Amino acid sequence: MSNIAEQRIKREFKEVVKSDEVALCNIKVELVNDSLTELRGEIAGPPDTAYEGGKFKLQIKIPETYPFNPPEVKFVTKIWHPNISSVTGAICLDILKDQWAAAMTLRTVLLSLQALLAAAEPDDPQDAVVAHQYKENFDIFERTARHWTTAYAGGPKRDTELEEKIVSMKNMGFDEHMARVALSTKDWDITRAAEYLIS
Amino acid sequence: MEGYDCDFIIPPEPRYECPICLLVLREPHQTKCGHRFCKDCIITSLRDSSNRCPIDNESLSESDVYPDNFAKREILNFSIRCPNFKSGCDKIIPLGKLQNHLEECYFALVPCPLKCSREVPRCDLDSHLNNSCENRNVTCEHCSKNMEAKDFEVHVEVCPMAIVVCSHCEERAVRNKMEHHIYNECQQVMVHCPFYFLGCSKVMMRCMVDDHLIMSAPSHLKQLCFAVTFLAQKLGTANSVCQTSAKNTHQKVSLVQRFNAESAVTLPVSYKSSHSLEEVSTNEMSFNFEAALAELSALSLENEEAKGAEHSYKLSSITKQLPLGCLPNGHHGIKQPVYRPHDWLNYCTAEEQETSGLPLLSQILSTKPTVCKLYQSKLSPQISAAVNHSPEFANLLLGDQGLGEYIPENSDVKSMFQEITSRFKKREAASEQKFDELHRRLTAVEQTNSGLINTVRDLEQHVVEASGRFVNGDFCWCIHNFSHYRLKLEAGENSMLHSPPFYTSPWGYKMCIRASIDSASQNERHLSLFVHFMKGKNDAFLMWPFSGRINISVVDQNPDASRRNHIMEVLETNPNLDAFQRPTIPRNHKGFGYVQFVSISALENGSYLMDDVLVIRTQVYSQYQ
Repeated sequence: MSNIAEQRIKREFKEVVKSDEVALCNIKVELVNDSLTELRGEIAGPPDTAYEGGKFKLQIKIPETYPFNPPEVKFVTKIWHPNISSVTGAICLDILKDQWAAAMTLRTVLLSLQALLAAAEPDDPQDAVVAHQYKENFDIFERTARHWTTAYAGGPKRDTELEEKIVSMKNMGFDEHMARVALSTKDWDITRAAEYLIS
Repeated sequence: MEGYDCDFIIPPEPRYECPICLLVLREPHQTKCGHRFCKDCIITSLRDSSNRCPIDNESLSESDVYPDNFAKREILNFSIRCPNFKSGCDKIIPLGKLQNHLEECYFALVPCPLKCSREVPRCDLDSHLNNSCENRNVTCEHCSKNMEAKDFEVHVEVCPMAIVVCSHCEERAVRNKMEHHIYNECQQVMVHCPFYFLGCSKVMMRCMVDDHLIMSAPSHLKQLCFAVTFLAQKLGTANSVCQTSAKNTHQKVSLVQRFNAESAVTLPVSYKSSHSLEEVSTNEMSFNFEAALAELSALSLENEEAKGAEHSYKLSSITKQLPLGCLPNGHHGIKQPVYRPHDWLNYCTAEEQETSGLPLLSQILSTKPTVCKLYQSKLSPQISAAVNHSPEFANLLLGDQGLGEYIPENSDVKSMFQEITSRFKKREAASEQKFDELHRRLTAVEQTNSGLINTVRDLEQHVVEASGRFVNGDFCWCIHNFSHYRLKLEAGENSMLHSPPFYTSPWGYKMCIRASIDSASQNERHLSLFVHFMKGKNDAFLMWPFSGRINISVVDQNPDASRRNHIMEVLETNPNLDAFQRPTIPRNHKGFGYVQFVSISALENGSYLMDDVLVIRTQVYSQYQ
């Protein structure tokens, strides 16, 4: 790792640890190993959104050319969001791509991601299926996103109706996660979800 | 170079911090949009990252950045603790004076001026140079030689002037005198009896030699008597052999003549030798020997043309046989590691003599010390020189058969040699010609071959182009030998792999897929997949930028179709991105896709790799076609 990247990460690390957001348990950064090239982040779902109460883990990789190139960030926790791939966790956020600026820090990146959770941009989607649902059927989208938050990010609000649908799919012999993906994709219509899984 | 990472007495305000390196501004520069950065940080950012301000993304070029000397002056006045604080320097100085201070700081590490590759605190430099540097100059107290300290340890072991203790008598002496002491003086060293070569095998300390000579005089005398008698007999035999050979073989005499000058021994020398022998031998012996010498000199006069060589011939035949007969145990060499007491051999050991080229001569010479001393000094160097440069002469001189057997065949050998040489030269010329011709043919074949290779390459490209043209946007890319590519990609050898090109329809867009392996993380590697648009035949009448939807999937090849779970991502095009513009080069630099499409471990754990084949399917739905 280049000297400047290493220096930067060390100082940023202190900055995040000191910051107010950590005190409020909103964002968190941890080392994965001693190399400083890979970090583990965590953000809290923003209040008054479908992600409220969830803790979303992030994988952060620091490139050799940091801070002149952005860190590579992706969600480790599964999430239902138009700008985040429900399969890989890849994030579509301009500041992680062409709008990155060297003055940005891990702290600002994590805060931006929190802001992204609060305000999705369905017109610049990463996951076309989710984006479609967001635009066409926002209520179902929100319920699905909340259900995913509860299922994967430790969110508090359980939706028994959706859970029952998953159980009935499981009884048909499908894997739970596959069932959840299929149901979410097909707006929680069991017949279509089953077809989707079989086709 | 990034900003100052110093121990500031009062932590500077955040406005003096570079937003890029997060350290205190070094060479502060201000942008036209009013933001401050370290000079190197902003220049690197503009060159390597983007032409925009790292804070507000305003577009910015290097000419829009100016030195901010106001901030610089303020920063250079901040007080800092010396960086050698931990080593003991408690100075507090303005940042601007740091360099000056470090040049004289007592605790700063400086490289050793003698280049011993160590860095030492300036305060310890003197003691390092005087006591511990391996390159410091030291003087040997014994021989006054100057050398580097690292060589001194070795020198102590070999210094010729160092005092060492004799291993036999514990006497102390300078090392280069010790050898002399052991060979000549040490009274405790074990030596042979001086009559060793006449048959006395007694070994004793040097201090006992005199006693032994007195005690064993009668037996020594007997041995001496035997040796001299034998010598006299041999001289007689040699005389008769010489006479016959000198008369009968002119050829041999002329050969001998060639060495006349070198090996001539004159009469007075012979007489001198007899004279010196007299001093040490009994009268009877002297009589016998003198008779032999008289014969020898008569012979020398007789054969005036070849006197020296003949003489030496006889001598050598004697020298060859005498020691064999004389030595009771019948061996040539002296193997025991015992020093001989004779003065002229004192400095050379038995092993040295055996390798010196004249073993026989030296042996006999040592047997008859007084007589042969003269031969050794006058004759032996000449004989050895002659022997060295003519094996023929050596044969004549030392050969068992004597002169009768020797007939040289020079002229035959010469002609044979010339014939072989000329034959060899002819053959060499022929092969050179052949080689030239083969080389010409090889060049011609190589030319044809490269032409053919080019044609085949063109045809292959044509086939690829044609087969990609009719897939109607639904293209399956089979990467055979994926593990092989994976190793190559991971090693960074061939950082990416491109699919054959394909068209969205026969008259549609041309594109390809690029695969690479993302190794940003050491723990997990990912397959990256991108779609790249390519310069196609239809570009002129197509709509640009491309608009539509692209599905990329890694195909699950599970034999049980119901359990297949393809990894699929759907890309919606974005008209603003470079990736979708009309290509101006054969393949757009910018692609669109996923750096981390799927992790390699997921590929390996699922049924995505069958027989080491990875299948990537792309379905392109163009809005216009």
